[in-house]
Amino acid sequence: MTPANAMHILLPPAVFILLVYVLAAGMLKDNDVSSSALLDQPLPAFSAPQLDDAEPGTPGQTYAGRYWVLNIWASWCLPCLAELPQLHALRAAGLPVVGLAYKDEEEDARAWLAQHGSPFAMSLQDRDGRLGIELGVTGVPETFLIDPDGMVVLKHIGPMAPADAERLLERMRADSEDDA
Amino acid sequence: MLAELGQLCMLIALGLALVQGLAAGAGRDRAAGMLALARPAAGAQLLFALIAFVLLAHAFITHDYSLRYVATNSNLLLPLFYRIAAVWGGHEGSLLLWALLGAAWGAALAWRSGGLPPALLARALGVLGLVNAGFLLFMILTSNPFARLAVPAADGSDLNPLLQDPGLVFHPPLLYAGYVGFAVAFACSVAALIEGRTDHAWLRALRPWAASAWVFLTLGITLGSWWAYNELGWGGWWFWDPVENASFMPWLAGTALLHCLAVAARRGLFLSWCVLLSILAFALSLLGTFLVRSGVLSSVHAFASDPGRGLFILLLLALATGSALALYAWRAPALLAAGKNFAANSRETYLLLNSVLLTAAVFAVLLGTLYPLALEVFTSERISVGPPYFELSMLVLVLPATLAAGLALLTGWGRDTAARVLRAAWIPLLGSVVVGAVLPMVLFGRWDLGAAAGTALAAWLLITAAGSWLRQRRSGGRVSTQAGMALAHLGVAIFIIGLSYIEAYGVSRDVSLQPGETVSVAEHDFVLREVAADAGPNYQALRAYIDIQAPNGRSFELRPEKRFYYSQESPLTEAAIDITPFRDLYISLGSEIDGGGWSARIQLKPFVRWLWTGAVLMALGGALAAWAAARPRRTAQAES
Repeated sequence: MTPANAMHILLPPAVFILLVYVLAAGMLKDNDVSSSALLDQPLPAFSAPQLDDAEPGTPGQTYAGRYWVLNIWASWCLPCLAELPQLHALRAAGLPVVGLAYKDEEEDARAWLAQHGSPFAMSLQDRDGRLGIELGVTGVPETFLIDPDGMVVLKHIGPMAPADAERLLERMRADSEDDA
Repeated sequence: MLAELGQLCMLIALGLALVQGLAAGAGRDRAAGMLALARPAAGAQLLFALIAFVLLAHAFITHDYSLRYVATNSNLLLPLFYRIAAVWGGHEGSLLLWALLGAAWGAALAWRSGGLPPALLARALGVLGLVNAGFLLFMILTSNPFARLAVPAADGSDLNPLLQDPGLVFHPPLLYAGYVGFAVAFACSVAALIEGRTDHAWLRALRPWAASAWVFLTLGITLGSWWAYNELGWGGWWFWDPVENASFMPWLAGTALLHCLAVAARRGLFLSWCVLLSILAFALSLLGTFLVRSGVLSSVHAFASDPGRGLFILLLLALATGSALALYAWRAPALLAAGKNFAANSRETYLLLNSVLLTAAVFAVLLGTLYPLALEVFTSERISVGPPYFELSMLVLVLPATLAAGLALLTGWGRDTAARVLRAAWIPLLGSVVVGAVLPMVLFGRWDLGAAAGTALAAWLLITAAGSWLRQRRSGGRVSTQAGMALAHLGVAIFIIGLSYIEAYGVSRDVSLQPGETVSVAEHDFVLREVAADAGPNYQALRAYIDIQAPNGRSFELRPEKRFYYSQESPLTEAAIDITPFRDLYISLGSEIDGGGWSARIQLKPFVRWLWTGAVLMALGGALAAWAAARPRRTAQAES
């Protein structure tokens, strides 16, 4: 067997085994991040331009003393559309949801919200993604649950399924009962 | 009671698929007996899969909400048409459709084996039976569409409104027909590897199956793109979403396979490459299924994720592909020894180049789709890969592949001289460049490099394909395969025109429309007349009536809508589109603004219809080639 032939024969199975490993490992991973820089840390105080207001928004101050949700999204992100019903559900449950349009054009973000219905109590933008770096954003969508003390108590990466939104609400209820 | 009958049918179909699978072990001496067993088994499997499918459809039509699957994917208000489409609108039902189509392909292979030697046919049927058994088992164990609810629901929770569109009704069946169709090429290749004979009979038999699967896949992807354009409401037609990529990868592999088979069937070359590509095409089909159903990647296409299901498909993927590749490794030395014999300057070379480039494109897309996942697995970092990466890799890989396909048609089989190829190529080349430089200028009055390059490439494909077809006709060769090729290349040319003109000359504006005021976009005048409420069968709508004056004096009305489905929280945008052959005018309604006005996005999309027209022509060309490739076997048999 010549070396060229050996490569011909061994390369396909090798590539395939690697592929299967990645798929298996990727599937069994957990989407709730337990070891993140921000988790159980205070959310950095920040202000950002609002989509529908000339004044910059400071959600940390606006919602101080209560639970609120920060959702990082973008109009170019299809999974964000898929999780939209869950954001509406969170809002319907009485949680203020703050949207942060990440690396998005202002008009695109506004058009997207107008088209699909905005779930956001406050709508911020981060056009160049600089705020995202500060918040440790790795992609869109990402969802943070912030407690009355301004601590990040839960962080979900990727689109939320109904069960994920439910878990977020449960976490909030459990936490507030502990406090009570 | 009927649901239990459906379950029983699935079990019987599983049993029959396993019986059919026995034939995979048929030696040459027992082939006839095995065929006598496998053929009727394949037919009966189709029958029982069909009964199960009809029973599930019946449950949807009669609103049987005691079935969990029906209750989660339909409701009392859903129109009949979409109740039938809902049969494959969720995970369980779409698997049943998959099993049905798998059985149909199996029965087709049993019925029209197309000159495959009995031993090879028996083994191919056996392999196909095992693949089908895998999917039936998957459905019965993890995803039973006939599972009952403990307490029957009074009403269902509705089919996802995004899926309520005619384009989507036929998108999954066509796509699955393509995916499962590659199982036939896969089974034939695996059978040939087991038998250790990869000869002309096998190659000729493989070609029409590969081509028909490719045709279905092409149509399925086209419909999906058309659906996204119409229904997602923002005028895009391809998003490089992981699941779109998952259907695009087997398509690329299938295209490479077809080009490679064109050489193999004629010259007996590149056999190992054909085998690998058939395995690759089906493995990628399975990968697509895995990506959609395992929740491993996030995508709008994703079904409810369930790691148990994902693991099962991964196991299926690993078993099918792994054993095929192991067989390949065993037989490859013999395959590689045969057919190394071709000159550098020949049609073979360029077709090989084409299929290698297309395969490289497959891996570029695969890398872009799975790289974020791989990075996360190995380093826990998270990144996302955007359209620019995919667009660049397509440009770098598919563009030269297209050039090579044209060049192949100008080059002779076996051995050609550079001087002759240059003589044959310079007129088409010059013609393409001139057409590219002039045509976009004439059409749009504005120079654009991308549009010029796209036009030139389209002209190149068109001229070379038409030339080759005419030469064949004059010399009285087999016209139909050539005609199929020419038609498919015409389709690619038309597609490229559409793609490059949208990129170069498309217009998109966000405007606010006040009643009675005129807004001008892309030389069209828009006046919002009114916004009125209306009710559909399962939704309420706000409909805007917009009068439009086109630059050519034509005036018409468009009625974009916002729909509020009773079962959903968020409203959906129903875009209104004015269609002419050379441009679409696309309006999607935003939200109400102060003073009775509305925001809207207006888009002018030149030549957007050419995308789908081109793709349909590709499919027609593929169908013609499949038919032509299936035909000469009979004359060959008659001669011998």
